[in-house]
Amino acid sequence: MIAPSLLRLDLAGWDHRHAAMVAAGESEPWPYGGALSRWLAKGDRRLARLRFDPSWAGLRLWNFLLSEEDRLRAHRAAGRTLVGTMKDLGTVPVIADALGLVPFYPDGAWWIPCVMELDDRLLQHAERLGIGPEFCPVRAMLGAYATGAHFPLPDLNVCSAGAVCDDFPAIAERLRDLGHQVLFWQIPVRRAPDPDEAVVALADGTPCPASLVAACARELRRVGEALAWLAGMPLDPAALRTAIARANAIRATARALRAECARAPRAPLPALELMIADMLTIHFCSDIGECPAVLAGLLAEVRARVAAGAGVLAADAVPVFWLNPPADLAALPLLEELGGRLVGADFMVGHALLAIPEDDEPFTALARCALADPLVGGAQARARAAVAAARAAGARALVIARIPGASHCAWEGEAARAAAAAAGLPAVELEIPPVLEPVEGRLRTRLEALLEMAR
Amino acid sequence: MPALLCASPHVPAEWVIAHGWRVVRAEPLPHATREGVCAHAQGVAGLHATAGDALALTAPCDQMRRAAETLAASVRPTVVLHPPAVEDSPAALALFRDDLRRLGRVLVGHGGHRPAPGELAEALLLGDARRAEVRAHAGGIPARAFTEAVARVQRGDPAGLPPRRPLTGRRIALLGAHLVPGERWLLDLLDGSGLIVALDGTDGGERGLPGPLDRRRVREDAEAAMVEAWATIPDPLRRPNDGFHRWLADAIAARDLAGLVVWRQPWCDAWAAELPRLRAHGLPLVDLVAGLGSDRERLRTRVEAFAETLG
Repeated sequence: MIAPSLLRLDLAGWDHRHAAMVAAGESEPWPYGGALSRWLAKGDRRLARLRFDPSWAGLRLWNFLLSEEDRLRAHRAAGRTLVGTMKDLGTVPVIADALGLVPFYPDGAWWIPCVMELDDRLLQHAERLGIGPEFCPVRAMLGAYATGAHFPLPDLNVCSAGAVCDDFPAIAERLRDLGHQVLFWQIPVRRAPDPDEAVVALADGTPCPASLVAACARELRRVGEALAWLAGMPLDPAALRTAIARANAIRATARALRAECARAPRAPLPALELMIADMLTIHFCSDIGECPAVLAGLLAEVRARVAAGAGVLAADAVPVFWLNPPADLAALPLLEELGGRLVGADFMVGHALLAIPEDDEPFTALARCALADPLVGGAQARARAAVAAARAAGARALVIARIPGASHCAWEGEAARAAAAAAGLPAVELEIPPVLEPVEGRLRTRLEALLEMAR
Repeated sequence: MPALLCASPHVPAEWVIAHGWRVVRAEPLPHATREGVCAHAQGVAGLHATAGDALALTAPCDQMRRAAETLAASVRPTVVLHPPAVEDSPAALALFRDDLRRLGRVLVGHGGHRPAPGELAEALLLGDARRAEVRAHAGGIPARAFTEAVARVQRGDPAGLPPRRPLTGRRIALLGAHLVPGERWLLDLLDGSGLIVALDGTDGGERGLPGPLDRRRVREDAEAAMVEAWATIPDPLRRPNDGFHRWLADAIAARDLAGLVVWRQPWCDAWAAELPRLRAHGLPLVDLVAGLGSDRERLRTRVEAFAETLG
């Protein structure tokens, strides 16, 4: 039985609660506060389908996330320099932060077609520019650059290449054709060390050839030099260390949140909010000053619920590990509606949750995190790690969310299913489009079958 | 002499030969594609059943990286090399050099030997001469004969070229990643449709050959000359890919090309994304997507129609 105060709310429900709480004297002493429904009015139609955590901390999280474009426009109006960091998911923003630049991931545009329920027509714009449906939904980013209708266009774009994904560098190359500056840097493909090679432990403990770490650090230094030129100032090593420490504080809170949610007897936070919290670590949602407080509020709420033995889902919800971010946000609430509970996930940003070593040369430390990216080491390694993490979190099932058109997914699904089978973990691979309604029946049936098997 | 099965033009035959091995070029069998998987990469993933004492391949794209991973668990030594994925990066160049050195160590450790002084330089200069001979025959011999000559040179063998002869037709470039063996009928189709493949811009064609070597550089530092040459093989996957487009633009002008034929595998994102910029070179372009079986007649119709538009 879920306590009435913890039942998730739809937009109307949140409007009602928001009004009541404001009338009772609750305040939102942050500039992005307000009723969630205002985002619906601005075109974020998907919100009408979703259900939201009923806490003030949850509301703050959603408002913080949805106000990012406003924040970026305010940064631009204030004369700050924006850097579009791409694909590496968590490393380059730390360098940018050390230089007082504002980093953000245009990659996030991949959710715009979902959030706006395709009204944005970004995918059509991308197709007109030669990037069609055979590519991953991140092609929406190309549409966003072409229209300029979402985030302000960055002063420089920095894109990693060489180890992950073909779609992204191809799309970034098209951005160049549109006149945008893109600095590419190479991230090495991670492999196991040879017996005669010097070894360095990555931030997650994975052994890695020292030569790869050194090469990655050298590339990040090159990125740092480019960003320093953009900022018009040298990159101060002390400032970089400070930025690392700042990022680490955020990452620690996110890790604590994950751990609390995984071990709690009942799910203290819905899956969607958990995923958003993970995502905040990659570039702090364009406000590194505010991000810690948002996550801390969420963590405090979770801890209070855990202490009270309370949860947002039924006590018998089936614990599930989820692989890959779903192209439609509605997929996670769907899992919960059918009786599942997220106890762990690899949303492709796991390396952005790791503590950046603070006792190492900064660029080497950042390289040790970047190379821990679950996608950089290949499908087999990722599958093994996911199954191990699933087991550690007590998951009884694995959902592999296939991203339509993503080059890695075509191979990874097979590897993940095989690893799950070897571990005796029921698994299902589901292709989830940006708007899942056309395939909802199929998704429901397959998720239900998985959860039934896992009970 | 032990045999290294090579599945990429980025593995220098001279390096292998200088280590006392011979090169066998892998011929991935065409595969029915499953959704999202490149047929060439899937064919490469099936190489585990092919004879060879060791395997070397490069992984310039995500599909090949995944395919290479499936081979890494093979019982025979398998080395995956990563040519630079970005331009103008000393670190990326050093990574490729380290991969080649790693290959060398594997070759030494499994029956080969370290190159004797001057051995690599001599092999490189001989290979350079053979590649020059091949390039001089571009557009002067049937397309299939040219591709086969490239394959021989990439194995470290003499080119074995037939004599040049006058060919009639409109001169075109064939562009794409890889023409798997079962797809070489395309070359005959192009020849038979009044087209002259004056530039074979596929991985297994002229584009897959490194440029002319600086003989002095080879004598000074053969390894460095080799790394630099093979690292700069024109490739649209190396970002930014202005270098590839400059190479193509130069060839269009120098060889008086009238059109571009793009041959790509389904699910090859890299070449699909390149189409707008290829069109921007201003030549008529036909985009052909590989398939098996009954697609051949459809492609014949398209090629013949394309040839007619060139006049």
